Amino acid sequence: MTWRHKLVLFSILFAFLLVVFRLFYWQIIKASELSVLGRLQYGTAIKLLPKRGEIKTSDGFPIATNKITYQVFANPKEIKDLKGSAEELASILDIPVSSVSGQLAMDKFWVPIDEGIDIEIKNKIENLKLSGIGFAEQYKRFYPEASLAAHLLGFVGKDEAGTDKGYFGLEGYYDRLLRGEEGIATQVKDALGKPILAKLSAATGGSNGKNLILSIDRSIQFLAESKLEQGIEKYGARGGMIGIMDPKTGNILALSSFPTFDPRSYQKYSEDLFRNTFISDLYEPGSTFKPIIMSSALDANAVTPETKCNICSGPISIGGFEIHTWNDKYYPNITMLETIQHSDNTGMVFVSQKLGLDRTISYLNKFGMGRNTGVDLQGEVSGVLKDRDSWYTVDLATTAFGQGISVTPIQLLTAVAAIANGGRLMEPHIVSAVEYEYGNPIKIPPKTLGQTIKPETAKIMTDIMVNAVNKGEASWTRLKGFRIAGKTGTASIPIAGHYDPNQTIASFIGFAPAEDPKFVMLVVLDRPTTSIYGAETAAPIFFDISRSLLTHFRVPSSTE
Amino acid sequence: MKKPFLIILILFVITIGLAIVRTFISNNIVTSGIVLSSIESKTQELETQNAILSEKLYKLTSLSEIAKKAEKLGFFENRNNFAIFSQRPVALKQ
Repeated sequence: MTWRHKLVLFSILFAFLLVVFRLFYWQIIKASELSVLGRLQYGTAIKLLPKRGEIKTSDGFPIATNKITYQVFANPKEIKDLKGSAEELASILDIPVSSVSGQLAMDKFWVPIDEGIDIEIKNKIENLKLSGIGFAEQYKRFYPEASLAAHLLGFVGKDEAGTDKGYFGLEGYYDRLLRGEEGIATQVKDALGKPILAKLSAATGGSNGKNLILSIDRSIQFLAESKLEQGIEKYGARGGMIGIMDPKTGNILALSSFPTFDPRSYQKYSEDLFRNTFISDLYEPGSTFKPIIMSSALDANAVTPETKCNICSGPISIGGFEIHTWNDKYYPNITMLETIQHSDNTGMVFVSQKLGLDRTISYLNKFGMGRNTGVDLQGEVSGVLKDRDSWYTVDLATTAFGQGISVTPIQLLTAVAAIANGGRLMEPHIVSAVEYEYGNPIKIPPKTLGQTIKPETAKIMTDIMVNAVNKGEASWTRLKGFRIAGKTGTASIPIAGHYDPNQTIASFIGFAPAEDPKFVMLVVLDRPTTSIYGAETAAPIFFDISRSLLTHFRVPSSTE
Repeated sequence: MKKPFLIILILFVITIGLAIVRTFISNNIVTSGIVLSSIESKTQELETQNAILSEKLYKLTSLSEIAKKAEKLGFFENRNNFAIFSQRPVALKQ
């Protein structure tokens, strides 16, 4: 080969390499940039809205899901009879004619007319065979059980950007999980830049929201709500709450508050109603708090069930205040067992003195007072547990019978559930599993928060509470044939530095069956008017629901 | 001379062969886009129908609906419950 041949060959090879390097530059290094430029010329990127996740009860029934609705839009340039079309559309959609006419008069290719319409209305409009009218599918939040568990669910509204956002309850707490992720797709355009109303292409990213499986039992929730509503009406109360929990796992089986709202039309209700009072309202629990203090004193060996109170012959004076029993009946040398049975405030003052301030504060901490329970609902609050130095002598006395201390109902329910669970405090939760679009649901295991009292102490306290049900003020309404542990509560309401003498918060807390509790339940009535006492208002509701629950859990009656 | 000619001939045959295969495959898949689009439309239609029927089903099987219907049919709450929860022996061997 001569040098000319070699030169030509070398030149060709060099040119070839130049082309290869240039191709590498444009196709590899600049690929993404050119791809974006191309897509912009070809079409515009639009958002693909994900489907919001469902919220299902333990039986798999969705109490919050999505239904298909339609957005009606129009291409004004294709409409022949603007006036006639506007009138017909306005009539079917039940919106002002002027609103529709205004939209159709615009010099645009696409205008929205209305949204959120059902398929029946869509079919009616389609039957009119109007030109230039189209429909876009949308999803709207749908609650098949109407206002059942409204406070638990919360509702879906809009944020500042106009996208769906959950508020309150589970919709708020789990909003990120439920809303999913947006995807991007290309809206194809023709040579003149007009959008082609065809299927979107090249969708990337995005995923639908995750589903939540709750521990809520739909039947128990329905039962609790209907009994609570009946009870509020029967006893003339302003409102009420019920919470039912599995003490062994912390699973919430039912949670209900009245007055309530309808999440389908939340805009019509006052914002005050959106708060779940079971987790967001503080109250002085009254005598339902006595089992907490008594079990603490038993656990600390400060008293035994047979210990006799030597200061219970009459009212007790402490720090300038006089402490009476609820009915001004006094039992000299009353035992601790009888103190709970008679709901004796002076007996509890004796217990608090035996327990002492330091141990009282320690046990209150163990039982979770002064901090959130960690329940997975938006809006939980907690009462404040004062510093040791801020306690007066009278505070220690009044705390023993549940006054002068503020708790939320969920805190009290969780604490008493620990007594039912051998002293083990469980974190309450509503969601038991999260369901992804593909794959098995991921279960959320129960969480133990700590050991409050010894199992032996819990057993003793359970027996004391069973005795209180069998022989106390609520014995007239108890369920015979079952060992049910419980305590009534009739708490005074603090108003402007003193307590209201005429109105109370009436409550009952208990668990059954006592030897192997399947549920723990708290019933609270706000200011009942037929009677102020928990034994005569909240207790009957508790036992009415318990009758059905014991059958539901297949608990046989025991001989007693 | 023969060797280079053979190489060029083989390359030529491969090129023609690949072109024929490409044409054959392109012909086969040219309509798949239409079929795919049709399947996607059908899928979308069925998903919509499924969602609409699910909505109807949930409304009809909701406890509030069942409670209303039960009341109309004359059902009432039974306050005297008894149940047999475990198998009892018919007779015991002594």
